[in-house]
Amino acid sequence: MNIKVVYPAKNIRRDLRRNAIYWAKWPFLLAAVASLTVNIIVKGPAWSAIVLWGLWMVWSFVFTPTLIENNRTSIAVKSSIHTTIMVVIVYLVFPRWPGIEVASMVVGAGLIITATLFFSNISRQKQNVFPLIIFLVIAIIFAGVSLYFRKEETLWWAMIVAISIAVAIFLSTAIILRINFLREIKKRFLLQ
Amino acid sequence: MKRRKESQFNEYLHHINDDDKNAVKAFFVNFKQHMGLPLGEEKKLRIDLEQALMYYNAVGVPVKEALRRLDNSHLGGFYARPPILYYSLDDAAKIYPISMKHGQMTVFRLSAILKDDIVPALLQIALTFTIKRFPRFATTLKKGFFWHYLDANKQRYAIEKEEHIPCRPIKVSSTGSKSFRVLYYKGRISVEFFHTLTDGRGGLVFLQTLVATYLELMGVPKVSHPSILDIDEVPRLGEDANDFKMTTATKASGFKERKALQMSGSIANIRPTQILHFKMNSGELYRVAKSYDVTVTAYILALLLLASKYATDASEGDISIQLPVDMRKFYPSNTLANFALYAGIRVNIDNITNIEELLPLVKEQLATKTTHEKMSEMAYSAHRMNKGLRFIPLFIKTPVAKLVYGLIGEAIFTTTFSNVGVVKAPHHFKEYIDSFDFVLGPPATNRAATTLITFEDVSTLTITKSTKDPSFEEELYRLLAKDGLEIEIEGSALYEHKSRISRKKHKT
Repeated sequence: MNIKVVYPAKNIRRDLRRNAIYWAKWPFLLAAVASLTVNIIVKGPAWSAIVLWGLWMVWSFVFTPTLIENNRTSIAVKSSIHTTIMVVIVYLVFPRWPGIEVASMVVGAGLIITATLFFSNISRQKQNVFPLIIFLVIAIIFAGVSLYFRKEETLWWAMIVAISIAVAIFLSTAIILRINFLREIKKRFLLQ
Repeated sequence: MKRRKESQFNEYLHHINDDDKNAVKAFFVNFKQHMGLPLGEEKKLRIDLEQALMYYNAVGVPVKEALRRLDNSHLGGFYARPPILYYSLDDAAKIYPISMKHGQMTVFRLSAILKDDIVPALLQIALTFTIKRFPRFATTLKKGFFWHYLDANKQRYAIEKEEHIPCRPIKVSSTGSKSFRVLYYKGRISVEFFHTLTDGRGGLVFLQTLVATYLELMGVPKVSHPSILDIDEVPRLGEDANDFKMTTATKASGFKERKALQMSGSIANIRPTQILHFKMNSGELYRVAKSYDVTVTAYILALLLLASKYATDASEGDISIQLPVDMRKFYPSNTLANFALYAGIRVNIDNITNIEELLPLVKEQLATKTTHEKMSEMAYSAHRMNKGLRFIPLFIKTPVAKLVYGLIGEAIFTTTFSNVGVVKAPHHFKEYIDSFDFVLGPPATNRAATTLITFEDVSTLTITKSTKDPSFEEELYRLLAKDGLEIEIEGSALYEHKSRISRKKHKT
């Protein structure tokens, strides 16, 4: 078969991510299994949960980032939520410190960072408001529940701070985006 | 004193007479009225128009005529209005964003091969004018709580010079990313679509409208034709509809199928490994099919079954060909969204002997599996399944769908054969266009995917390869040639860059 070449000279980009996923998954799996096994053998606190969550964080941020809607707002939200979960896991494994209050502070800080990234380029980011809204809802629920159960703790105000920041950002977003805010909610909850 | 470098466009302005200069200035004042885009995007569109004007000047088109062709009224209100529209995905499209992986995406490509080399400046303008008639395409893919959807995205949609491997994944993750790309190479205009946006039929309407607009900009008089949309017309009702809802069936059919045999040959790391176009005389192809008393689709399917058998080392099991069926032939629809489903033409490898014995089997399966009733049942199944899953949040649906699709996916087919049929185009197209071709994206499990498209007297049978093994296409070529068809083969060089991964992972 004689082929007349009608496509441009091949310019093949090496698919680095696919290669990285292929090669990295084995060390990651090995590290996960090894930490779990060692933890079971040596007994004691379940520190392997921290390792597993840490591995998952690296995996999902570095090797397999989101394929749809991977923008500055969604990355900030994802980072904040993952970090908060890490703090909570550390607290559950080693409970002698005010972990939930620290987690609430992380939530508050995450909200500030996300809102800064969002509002600093609002004309472009307004179509990415949904991850921020989801984060605000999660933050209010998390801090509210934490406050209910830990209102006697010294750092109880951390939850109030997180809730206040969340409510302030929520209201600012709604006021600034106005009709677009409702429109955004409507389309994000399409059922068909 | 610092010398100010004069821009090429200013130079152009200096060389035209005062009347023309005033007309150009008025043109850009009017252009400004049509813009509501961020300044950066507006500037890019302005530069596009400047380049087009300079091109016209270079080829001797009078300024007034150039301004007539580039008339700002073609921009309509599209670029002036804020992006508020959004579109839910149709029932067939929902699986594509859910099942995509890094480096693996369902992309297809439609191309028109023109007799002359493309003028990029005019193709860019053609796209700027055309996209506004296809608001569903001027979108970015977003994640909702229950489903993905398409969100209006107003920007300058840029053409690209073709430099890379065909049908490579389209980056849809960043803010404002688009789900299609327009490419040009010599005389070829290609549009690559993420399947979630449209199907072959919708894609062809877009390509033909783009080509018609381009030809108009080249000075070819405007001709209206049912297969081409008027770019100055308002989108018609139903163009963005999910027409799977139209199906009249009340009985559902399953998607469950047994695994099919796969052709031998390692799947390459770089996919496609090669694109091949078998160009044949359409009249001759029709005559050969008629000599067997079958349709062209049945004839090609039989050849694909024979070639698939030749290309596999397996001796037991079924060879199955996925045959997309355009539902528009059963239901009156003018949707530009997906409205196609598939039938599976499945024959046990023992029964694949020669074309004479195979054709009655294929003919019978085509007659029973692609009926209005069967296809409606499948459409009803797809619609019912999506309806049943609608209240499940996307973050739960996605991993489950990935798992199921990963387990079944392409494994129930050996290959795909998509026949878009005859391109219905205005009569004058043949003076400027040689042929069309249709390329499916590289399969991940199957070793090849095939398509057929016919324009005037050229039928183009395209093979997208995922393996280096040439058995399949060589046998197909031999079978076609045996029936007396003269074939001209065009295609790509072998895309090769094999890493150790492909050698280890994809061993047959």
